[in-house]
Parts: sequence; structure tokens; C-alpha cells
Amino acid sequence: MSSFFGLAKTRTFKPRKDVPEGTKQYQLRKYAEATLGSGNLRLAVVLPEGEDLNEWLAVHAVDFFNHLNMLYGTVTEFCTPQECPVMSAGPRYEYLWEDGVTYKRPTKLSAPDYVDALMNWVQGLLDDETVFPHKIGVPFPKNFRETIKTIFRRLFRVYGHLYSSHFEQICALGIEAHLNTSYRHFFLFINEFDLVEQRELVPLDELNDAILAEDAKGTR
Amino acid sequence: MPPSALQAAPQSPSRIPGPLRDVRMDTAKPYYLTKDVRMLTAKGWGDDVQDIRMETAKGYLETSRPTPLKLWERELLETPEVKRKATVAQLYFLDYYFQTLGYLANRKERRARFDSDTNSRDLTPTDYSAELKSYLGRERVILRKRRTKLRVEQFHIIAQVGQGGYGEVYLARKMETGQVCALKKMKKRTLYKMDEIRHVLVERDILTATKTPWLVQLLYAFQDAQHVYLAMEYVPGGDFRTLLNNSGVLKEEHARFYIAEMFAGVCELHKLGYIHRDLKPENFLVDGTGHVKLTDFGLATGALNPRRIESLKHKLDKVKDNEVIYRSTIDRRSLYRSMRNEDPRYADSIVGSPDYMAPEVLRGKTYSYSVDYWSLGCILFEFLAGFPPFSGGSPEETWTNLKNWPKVLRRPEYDKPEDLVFNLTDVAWDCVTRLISHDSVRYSTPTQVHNHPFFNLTNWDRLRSTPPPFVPALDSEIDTGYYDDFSSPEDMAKYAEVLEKQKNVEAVRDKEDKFGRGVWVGFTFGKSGAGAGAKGLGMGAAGDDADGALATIF
Repeated sequence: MSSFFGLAKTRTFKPRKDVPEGTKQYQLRKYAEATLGSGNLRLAVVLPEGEDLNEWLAVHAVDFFNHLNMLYGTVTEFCTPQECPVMSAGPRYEYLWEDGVTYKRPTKLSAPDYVDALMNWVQGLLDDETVFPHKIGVPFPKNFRETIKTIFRRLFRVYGHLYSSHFEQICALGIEAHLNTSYRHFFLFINEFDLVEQRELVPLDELNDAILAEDAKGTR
Repeated sequence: MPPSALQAAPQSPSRIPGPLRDVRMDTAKPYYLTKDVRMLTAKGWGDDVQDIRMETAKGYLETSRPTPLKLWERELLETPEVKRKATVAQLYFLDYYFQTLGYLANRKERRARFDSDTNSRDLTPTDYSAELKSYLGRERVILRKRRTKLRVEQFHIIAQVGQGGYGEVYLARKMETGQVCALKKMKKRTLYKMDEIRHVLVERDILTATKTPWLVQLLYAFQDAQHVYLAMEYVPGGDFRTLLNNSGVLKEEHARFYIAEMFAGVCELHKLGYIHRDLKPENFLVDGTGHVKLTDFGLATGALNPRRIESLKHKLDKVKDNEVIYRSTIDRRSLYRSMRNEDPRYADSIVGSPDYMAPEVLRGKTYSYSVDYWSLGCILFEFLAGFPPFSGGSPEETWTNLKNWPKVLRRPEYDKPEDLVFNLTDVAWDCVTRLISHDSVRYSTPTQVHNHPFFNLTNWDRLRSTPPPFVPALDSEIDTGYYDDFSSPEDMAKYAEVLEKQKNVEAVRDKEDKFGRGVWVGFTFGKSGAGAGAKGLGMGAAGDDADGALATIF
């Protein structure tokens, strides 16, 4: 494991020989290889000129929620209460769950229970018409940015857990490039809009610094 | 924001993040300190607790446990559920970034067009800002639609067209686009109880993997807390069960046409690497042009669920000492007709019928693609004879017949002058017996089938442009005339047993373990809102719209 976070791979997709030429998957892969290697992700997070900030935050909250649903979904068989009795991002960072409803006090949960609670909580907000209006023309609520910050702060923890406890499995499944791209995208996004406090990001500090360094190099 | 702002933040190793303020949203209480991030130790970053070491200046991290995967992990990696999710995730991300980067490029282009257009027209500032506002409003609508999930409320249910053990099928119209589809609604809980989740996922995977006129196309897959939904193209001509119930026996040339098309459909499925194993007339539909489409791949997979195999084996064992009841062709046919009249839909129930299943599937033995050839042989037999080759007067008798199939399989013989037309020709009978035969000699490749003399007149490359024996007479794209009428008590009565069995399943005590959200990850398919484009009736090969080639999997 010379590169725990596989940084070398964050920028490109590993070509897989088992994808037959001419299939949809092959086309997509070619496309991804051609586009994700450049500074495109850095540009992709920037608010388009004239766009409503909340609209931009909302669509990304949904996107990253879907990413994590997909990524965590691939390791649900491995992330069991026996293997991951506490929700953590490495041995130094343990998370307690509190939602003010089912868990009124910060409560120690196994990682699968924690992630389940977390994802259900986010899903509940995303489906809540008063928080994430879907109808055209309905404005976002006043405290929307605070809600978004809480969502992103919590979503970060799932990335943290995936990296610290399931990275080998994710490598064995051949999707580490996707985890890396997704996290890089996520981190650039929260960085761009200052959504998560620095101290929350400490568990993945080294990775974060590396992304910023790469990024600075790429844009210079 | 420049990255420097972040880098400037204090992050000296001696600094331990303090308790964090949690932002609570649903309470009037002031924000307060939570302890939802707990530092395991107050010791700081001493060597003894250091789990992250900087090995190099490059910023690579060394894991503290470069452990090879344990045995249980390696075993799990090989399970189909885990493999499937990894594949789905691969595709999902490739597709996501394809869509996202495409969106950004298109948006840039739209903006450039707007700018050059407004520049060229020499607008007053007021007019310009009005047009800008309207342009930005349109962009905002696109963004908002992108995050809107597909929900069942976005479909207008027109009529019920099917009833199975796990749920219902409706003819529905997607309100936003007016697109008509068959909406299959299945209860998550029932699927879970019956260990059928995997089969639904397999069906979804098959449907998303291909775009051929022989397989019913999937338009969307989505879910809510209780149900999963598959929105498929609506195939208005009904299924072959209904067709056979109405027609009884088919003329040889018609039988040849339909069985050839059925072979074409099954070959498409085989090309994708799937074996159906439970093919029956109900799985084949007649589209608006009169051609055949294969649907319902729920059971197509590497293995039947173990419980089902046990129950099949058990039933076969139970009848092992039963004597085969000899019946004449006429008897068999009338017996079968009366059974069908009593229970016209008995294959729709959860238990299903074994009539068309190959013996090696029933015995839980290893099997290959040729098991589907067996089933097609049984269907061809039924087309020509008016009853399937092993049907008995009771389920038990059918099982006995299957157990003793070499003895039971006999060429139908009609001797009354008016019935002579129903006798199979030699070449048809030869074809049947190449398909219904021991797996060591059974046909198992398309070439063998194509070369059989029964198909001498069949143009395999132009099947879809061969005029079909019958073209459904449809009043409109939402004509359900070829399906049972679920609002009529008479038609509904056909489903009494299906519904009864469904009730029994629902009464089964819940499995002890709860199922997490993980099991349905990767089910959702198809872009919400615009994009998928309206597709019409199952009008043959016309479904090749270019932008659908990279349909999304949101």
C-alpha cells in the first residue's frame, strides 16, 4: 500500500481490460479518462455566473448524497456492527449521532447504524419540500445555508469512514478511483463555498492538502 | 475562495480540535456545544497514538494496517451482490461525470449563445436585463429539475394491466412528458421476505444493459420507502397466455413465426449472459406491430434462490412413486382447457407453474443455456397441440409427468377426421423433440435451431420485417383491450388465487433481521424530467434515439 489514498489515481481512471470496446461502459470510461484528468473538477464547482447560490448548493447536496449512497452501498456487506462497532474516521475520530428526534443526546452507534441514520436524515431533508423546494419558483428557506452546512459536515464523515475503514475493500472492488474523484470533487466544493469547518476536516487532512497542492499546481 | 484561506487555518499538530458547535435546525434551543465528534484520547499527537505517519514529503499517507484482506473479506468480494454493486457504482460514476461535465459544457454554450444573441440586437439596458433574467430563470429550472427525484405521483395511472405475486402492473402516463408506460410496482417488504430482491435487481440490470427490440425496454427505475418501480415500455398486444387462451391451437406457419421470434428474444438474453430458466407464454408479449417481445426477467440469473430449489426438489421427490396416468391426446387437451378456464393465470402467482421448466432446473442440478431451449420446445408443443407436453389434471400429476418426462412426452394423435388438422407434421415433431430432450443431446445454440428444417422458410435476419400473423387492433396508445380488465369482477376472478397467495406471503412473519438501505442501492435508473424523451408504443426497432444511448442512472 504505497499510496493509501491512491493520490496518483485521483486524477485518472484506471483502464479496466474487462470492459469491451464499443459498449456504453467503454464509451463512458473513455470520456471520463479524457476529461477528469485535467483541472475540470476545479472549474466544475465554481458557481456559474448569475446562478442562484442556494440552487447550486442544493443540486450538489443531492449529488454528493447520491455519490455516498453508491460508494457506501458497495461496502455495506463489510461494514457490520461487528467489524465497525463505532462510527469513526480512523482510530482517533469517533462520531456520535444526534438528530434531536430519535437520538436526543449524542449517541454512540455502530458505523452501519450511524451511516443509516445519517443517510436517512439527509434523505428526509432532501425530500422535504419546505427545505429543498422542487416546485419551480418556490424559494429556499432563510436558514438554507445552515442546513446545507450541516448536511455537508455530516456527509464528510461518511467519506472519512470509507477511507479509514474500508479503503482496502474499495480497492479490491476496483472503485477507489471513483471514491477519490468523488471525494476530490466534494472537497473542492466545500472549499469553494466554505461549507465545513477546518477542524471537522482534520481526519482527511493529508488528503485535503494533497488535493489543494495538486490543484494549485494544475491551475498555475 | 483561494485555497490559501484554508491552508492558513491553524493546523499545528499540537492543536486538538475542540468540541464543535452542532447546528441544530429543528429546535428553539440556542446552538450549543455538542460532543458529536469525540477525540479518543486527550494525549495529543504523541507517537504512541499516532496512526498517520508522514513517510515522504510527497503527501502520501501510509496506512497503519497494510493488512491483506482476510478470508471472509475475500469470500464476500466474490458474492454476486457485492460484485453487482461494484459494477453498478462503476457505471454510475462514469455516467455521473459524463452528465455533469456535459451539463457544464452545454451551459457554457448556452451562455455564449445568449451573449452573442443579445449583443447583436443592440438592446436597451432594460430589455437586456429582462432577457438576462429570463435566461437565468431557465437555467435555474434546469438545475432544479436535475435534483428532482422521480416519484410515483408523477405518473397518472390509467388502468391496471397485470397482477403478480409481488405487485401490480399499471398502464400509466408520465404527466410531464405524456409518455405512456407499463409501471410495475413491487412491495419491498414482500420481495425481501421471499428472498427475491436479487431477482428484481437482475431484471433491472438486464433491462438497463441493452437496447434491442426483442426485450421490453426499461424507461425508469425508481423507489420510495415501501416500493420499487420499474417503468417499462407499454407493449399493447397482451401476452401469449391471453393469445393462447383465445386461439387454442396455432397454425403451423403462425407457430413457426412466433417461436422463431421467441428464440430471437431469448438469444438476446443469452448474449447478455443471462439464462431465464422459467420461460413460459406469459413472458412473451405482442407489441403494437404484432411482433414479439420478451419481458419479466426476474428469475433470470445464475441460480434460483435456494428456498425455491428446495421446494422444487421436494415436490419432485414427493411424486417419485406415483404412476404416470395415461391419457389420450383428446383427453389431455380438454383437461388442460378446463384447468385453464378454472385458473387462467396460475403461472402469475409466486409459486408459479413448473410446466415449462427443464428437468435439470427442477432437480437443482447444474444447467446451461439449453434449459431455455427446453422451455421454448414446450411452448412450441403447446402452440401446435393446444396443451403443454406435461400438463396433468392436478399439480401433482404435472409433477409426476415431469419426473417421468421421457415416458410422458408423446406425439399428439388425433384420429377423428375433423381433428386431423391438429396432428403435428413430422418436421414440427422432430423440432419439438430436439428441444424437449435430455440435456446431453438437446439443441443449445441458435445455429442448430436456425438449421432445423422446420425453419427452412424462416428468414432469421429479417424477422422483424416479416409480416406477423396478427397485428393488434388498437384504438389509441393507451388501449388495454388485449389485457384483462381489472375493473371487471369477472376478469378479476381469474386472479383470485394469485391474490390469495400474495396474502399468504404477506402474513409470513417478518424475517428477524431488518434490511438496510444498502440492498436497493443502484436500483434507480433514468433521468427525471426531460431527457429520456417520449418513446411511443413498442413500434419495432424504432427506439434507437441517439441521446438515449447514454441514459443516466440517477
